[in-house]
Amino acid sequence: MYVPSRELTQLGADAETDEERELWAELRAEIAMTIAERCGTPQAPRALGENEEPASSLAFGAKVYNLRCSGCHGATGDGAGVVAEYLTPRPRDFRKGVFKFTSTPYGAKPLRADLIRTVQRGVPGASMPSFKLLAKEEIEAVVDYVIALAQRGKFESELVFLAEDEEELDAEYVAEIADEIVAEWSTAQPPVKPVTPMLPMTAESVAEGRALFLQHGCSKCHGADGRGGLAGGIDVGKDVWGHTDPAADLTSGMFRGGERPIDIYRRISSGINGTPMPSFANVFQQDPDAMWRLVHFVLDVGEQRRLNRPPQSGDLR
Amino acid sequence: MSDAPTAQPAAFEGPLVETRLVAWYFYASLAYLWLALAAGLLIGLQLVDGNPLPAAEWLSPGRWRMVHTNTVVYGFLANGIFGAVHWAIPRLLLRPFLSRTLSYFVFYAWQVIALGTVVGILHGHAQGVELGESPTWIDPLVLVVWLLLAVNAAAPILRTGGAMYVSLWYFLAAYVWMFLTTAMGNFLPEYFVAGTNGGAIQGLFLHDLVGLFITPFGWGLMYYFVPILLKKPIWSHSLSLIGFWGLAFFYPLNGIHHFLYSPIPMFLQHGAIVATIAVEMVVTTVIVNFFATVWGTGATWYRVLPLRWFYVGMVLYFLTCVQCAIQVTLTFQQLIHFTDWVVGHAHLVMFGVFSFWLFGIMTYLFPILLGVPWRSTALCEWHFWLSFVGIAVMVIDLTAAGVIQGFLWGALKPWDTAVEASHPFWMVRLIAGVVIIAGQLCFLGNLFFTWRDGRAGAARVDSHDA
Amino acid sequence: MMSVLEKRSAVLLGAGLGMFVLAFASNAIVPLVMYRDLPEQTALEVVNQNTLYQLEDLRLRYREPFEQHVGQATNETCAELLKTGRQVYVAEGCWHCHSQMVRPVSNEPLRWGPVPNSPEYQNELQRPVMFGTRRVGPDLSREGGRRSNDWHAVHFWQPNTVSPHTRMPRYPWLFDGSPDKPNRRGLGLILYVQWLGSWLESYPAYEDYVPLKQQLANPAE
Repeated sequence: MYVPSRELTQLGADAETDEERELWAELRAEIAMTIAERCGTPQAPRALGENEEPASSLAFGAKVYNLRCSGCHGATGDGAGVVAEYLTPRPRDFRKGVFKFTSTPYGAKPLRADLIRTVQRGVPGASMPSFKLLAKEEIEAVVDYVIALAQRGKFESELVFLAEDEEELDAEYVAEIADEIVAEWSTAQPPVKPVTPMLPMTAESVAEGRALFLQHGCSKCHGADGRGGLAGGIDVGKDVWGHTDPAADLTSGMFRGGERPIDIYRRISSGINGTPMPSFANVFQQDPDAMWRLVHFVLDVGEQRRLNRPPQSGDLR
Repeated sequence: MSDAPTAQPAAFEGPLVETRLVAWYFYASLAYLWLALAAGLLIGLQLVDGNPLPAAEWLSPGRWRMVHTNTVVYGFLANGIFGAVHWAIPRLLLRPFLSRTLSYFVFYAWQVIALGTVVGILHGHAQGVELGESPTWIDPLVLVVWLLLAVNAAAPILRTGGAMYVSLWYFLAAYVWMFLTTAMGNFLPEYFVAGTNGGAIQGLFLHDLVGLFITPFGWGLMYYFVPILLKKPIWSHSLSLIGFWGLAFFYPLNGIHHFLYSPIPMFLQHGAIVATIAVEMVVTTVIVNFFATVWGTGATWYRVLPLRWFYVGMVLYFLTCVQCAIQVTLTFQQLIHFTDWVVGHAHLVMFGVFSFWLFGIMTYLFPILLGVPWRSTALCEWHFWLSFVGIAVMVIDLTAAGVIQGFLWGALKPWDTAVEASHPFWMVRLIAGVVIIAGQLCFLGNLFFTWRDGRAGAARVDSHDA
Repeated sequence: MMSVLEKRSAVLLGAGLGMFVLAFASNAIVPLVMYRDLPEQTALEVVNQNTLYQLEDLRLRYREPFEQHVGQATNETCAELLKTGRQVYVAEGCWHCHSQMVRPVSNEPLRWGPVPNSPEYQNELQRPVMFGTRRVGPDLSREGGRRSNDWHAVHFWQPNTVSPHTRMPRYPWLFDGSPDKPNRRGLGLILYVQWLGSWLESYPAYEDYVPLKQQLANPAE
């Protein structure tokens, strides 16, 4: 059985009378049953939109997940595996359905290919290692299972909201919620494509990129030296998972969302879902080349340590 | 043959053989054997994910891995060899070691070294040279003791006139080799030579330790004990001469074969490969010599238990060397390097050969040293068969495991696929290890009761005298 | 001829001394001469920017333990901590289950990264050289940067939580009671592992690394 979320176990915890308590207990049981019916168990999981027999590939994905992922991400995908509290950034909690490193626009669900890429290359600089030697079938199955876990988590919290509002679980509403979640994931969002082809990277384009970096406030979070929030002591608040999330150290040479120019482009354009890093797609709408200049600057900063040059200290100005 | 004097015995005081010291060496040897077995058991359990004592610093399997190999070589084999040599050399020369006091001093010093190595490693003072892990503060002491040991043994050899018997060539050369090998391996890579070049020296050291310490003493003892037990001389003097000089020439040139496909210059790697294959030829002459000696004696080799230990050990030695000649080729290296194949090979040569010879020598000498026959010949048989079956299963198992690991690694499977695939093999290896331990338990029990018999016998004689 | 070879002096000087010296000359002195222009670098000389980043990361992650056991994050403390790490690596016998030698065969460069050359090993931290002898765990010569410092910390604390099927023992004595409090030995070992391969331009994406210039020639996916 999946462990119920805290929201679910706390549902109706402030009830005062015995009658109320009984009602909430019944509702909690009903929610648990509904989830179990629709999403199965870790041993026999089923995808939310699946009405027929559960796909065996999902069970295979669950097996891979429980072996290789649950230590950090937790068996329910709540990002609270046994070692999670010792890892910074925290392992992702999939239940909100928010994924950081996507090729899709800000706020959109990731493509399946995005998640496959993250599993294959890992998140350099963070505690997610690369699993590139896993068989293709294993990676695809585990990604399908992660999506199923994300949907399950969302379904669970939506049901809790429904129960709180209505004090009952209307079957019609429940079905609607499930369909909505499935639709959200199945509506394909195209990946962000640059408006213009990349300019040649030159000393000038890097210098211009640096000017843009300072001008558009990147340095407010990443520090004037690009060394990020942790080294610079810059507090930018918490992410949607409730953890403090300082801006990345660009000098590390390890870009978490990918080190290709297009990856950096997408990070600037789409931002990072769930974190204080916003989308800059609108900012550069009038001047698409500027985005590439910024990319050049970021790439150049990330290249310095590889070439064994110390990162520039202090103010970039 | 060797009991017949080849030269005029020189005048000396006291007994020819210090039998008490021989027995002491053997007891120390067995004590370290048990330490090594315990260490092996711990690592075996760790590898099947069944270590009952995890998370204790002094019981860390990583440290006990080093205790295992170091006690086998410096505790078990070295003490056993020294004991046997203290028996063989005086009887060959009819002249005792240079100084009785020095003999005892070396014994105590060696126990300090062997025990200090264990304690140092467990305390986290290991050095990064395989079989040279002994803490830095022990190394100079080792060198001094080697020198004393060499002087103590070589002096009577050099003083005695006349032709030198084969065993003595091996012993004499080994005393020089061991001093130089220790000096090279324990000091150069640690203090002076870094990197690839240091690696070449480490390979040289590691191989010389087996090839220029254990092997020459082992063969020297075989040349001594086999003719005595068979009651006939060795078949061919010329072959033994070829064997000795072949070994002396080719064996030291093998070292770099431990690091094939490393950044060590390739022509040196090729040289080591050729020299290794050449050693196989040399070994064949030695094996032929011993089998020609036993030819025509019927089942004596089987009936006389020490001889059985010796000859089975020799067959296994030959197998080890055949294995060497194959696995040293670059083609084979691609598959088996860094796998359990090599671990199986090491166990075959260290346990299947040299330990077998030592057990044979102990089986022969303990009744003489204790003055009573073995309490139970059945237990002696059990000792042999459990050891034999244990090592055979272990080596076949690890060899197969190595091949599977090699293929899975080459196929770019995730790392843990090979670990999981090794699990059944490691399980079998653990069981084989337990069988070996059971065999040694038979030996230990038998020895204890025999020792008690000896004490009782001695007491009876005493009271009779009184 | 035969009788000469049986003489005490022949055995003692010819076999004992001569053969040893011959092997030593050909197997140890020859490479020594070949590497004469490749001086051994000190630990301080092999401190590089990638390692310094990891040192800084350790400082920011484990502020109190770092301050207590290391102090400041400078090139000098980095070199000293690397030495501590190497000592732990040797003393714990890490090198008996992990190699530091990628071979140019058996698909090893595809699994581990670039094949190393002699200059990479020509430094104080490779004396004695850690080629290794057996692989129960993976090769580590290109391990640096692949995983984060906190991953290594929980891994040393309890390996099977992040590495399924592993046979690696636990190393709780590298910590002061919990995986977020590494002691000097723990910090040192983590830094040492992160140092491995840090001198390469392809750190830490060893196998997939495409130099920036090459990427820029073809920026689209």
